[in-house]
Amino acid sequence: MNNNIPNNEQVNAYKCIRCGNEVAPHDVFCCKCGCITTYGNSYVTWDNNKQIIDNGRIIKKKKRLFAQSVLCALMVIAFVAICFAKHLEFYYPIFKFEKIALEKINGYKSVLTENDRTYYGKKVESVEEAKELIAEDYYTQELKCKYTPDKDSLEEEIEKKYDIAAVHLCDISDETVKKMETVLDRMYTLFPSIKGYLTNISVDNLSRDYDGVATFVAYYPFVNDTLSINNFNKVYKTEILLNSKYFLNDSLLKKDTPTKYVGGGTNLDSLAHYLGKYVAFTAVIKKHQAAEFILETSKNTERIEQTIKDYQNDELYQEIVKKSFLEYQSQTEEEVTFEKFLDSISKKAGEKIDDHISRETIIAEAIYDYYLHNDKAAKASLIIVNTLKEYL
Amino acid sequence: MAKCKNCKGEITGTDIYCTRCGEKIESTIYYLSQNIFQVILIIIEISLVSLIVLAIMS
Repeated sequence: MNNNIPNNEQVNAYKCIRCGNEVAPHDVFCCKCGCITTYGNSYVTWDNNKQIIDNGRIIKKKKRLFAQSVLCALMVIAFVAICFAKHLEFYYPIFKFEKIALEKINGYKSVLTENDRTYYGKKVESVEEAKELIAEDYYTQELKCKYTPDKDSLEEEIEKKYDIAAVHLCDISDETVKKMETVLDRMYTLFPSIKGYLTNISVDNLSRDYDGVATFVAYYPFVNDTLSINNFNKVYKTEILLNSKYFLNDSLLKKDTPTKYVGGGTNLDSLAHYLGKYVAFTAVIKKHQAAEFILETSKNTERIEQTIKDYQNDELYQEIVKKSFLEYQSQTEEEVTFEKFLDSISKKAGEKIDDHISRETIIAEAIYDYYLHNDKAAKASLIIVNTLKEYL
Repeated sequence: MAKCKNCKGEITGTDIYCTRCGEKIESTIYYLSQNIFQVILIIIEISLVSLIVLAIMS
């Protein structure tokens, strides 16, 4: 406190020096204009507030808010600068948190990458350009995955060896990738003519109720799907999507396949079942001479539409199964029913879904049997595989 | 008796400024919105700091 503080009688006579409003004896500030009073001027003595006192006002709260806003603005600038400097890598921690949250929701290791992206209005003139687009789609999502130099080179090797546009084995362990490569190697050795039609192998969080280790998507409209073929060429993906539930959880992958499948293999081996569906689909492509199935242009649109229609209606598959069944009957002395023929392969082959037995599954199971047991596979499987080979 | 939000000094209904600290007397809605704004700023600042730290560490 200052010794020169005026007494009550002295301050009574004072009015506000700015607005002339009467002030109470011990008012530090005028209640009307906020200007410091004569009493207040003597009362406030510490140097730090001199500037504020000179201005005639003390605005504490507003100053705090202003300082906070400035700080926030500086942080935003820093954030934007780092975004530019580190480019996509900046988002890595965000992806990490997102992945942890997703894994908590799903209850098993999951991936963040998306396989269902579509693009419109892109000019694609050649198969190479189409393949580049598919590869680029995954390249932009690479930061969402864990990578090791080993896996990078393995992916590249698989892409080159089997002519696949994009092999994106996000978060899968190196050991599993190597084992998976052996499955691919055996399948491509058994059916060398299937090379070049598969566009991508990637990991996906398939439905929680789905119990397969993977799924085969014969055609996924990737680019310019709904646009007129006269203006824009279309790109289709033919893909194998690996189920993250199995491929990111090694203990599940090592287990034996459920009994309904052909016996004698692990869950990893059952990848051959889905590759079998791909093998069968290449037969449909070849039947309609739609070698450039990946790229639909005004020139090949008819052939591609026929291929899709054939696949949707199981036309070729029915033909193969029927032919194989007749062959099987002719080679067997006793009378055999169609159900018995399918049961000799596996329960999965004869499985009815909505009162319908999928011909694609029958062929896939026969191929899986052939993959596992080679010439020792069930007679029905061998006949189906041999019939299929006629179309490859 | 109403009190100044800044220094808790007593104020009367006709006061435009607090006679103790000089802070302008505003309405309750004003103080409420100011506080909400401050909380939002704090949340943004904390998130930005953690993101920047994580980005630098990664």
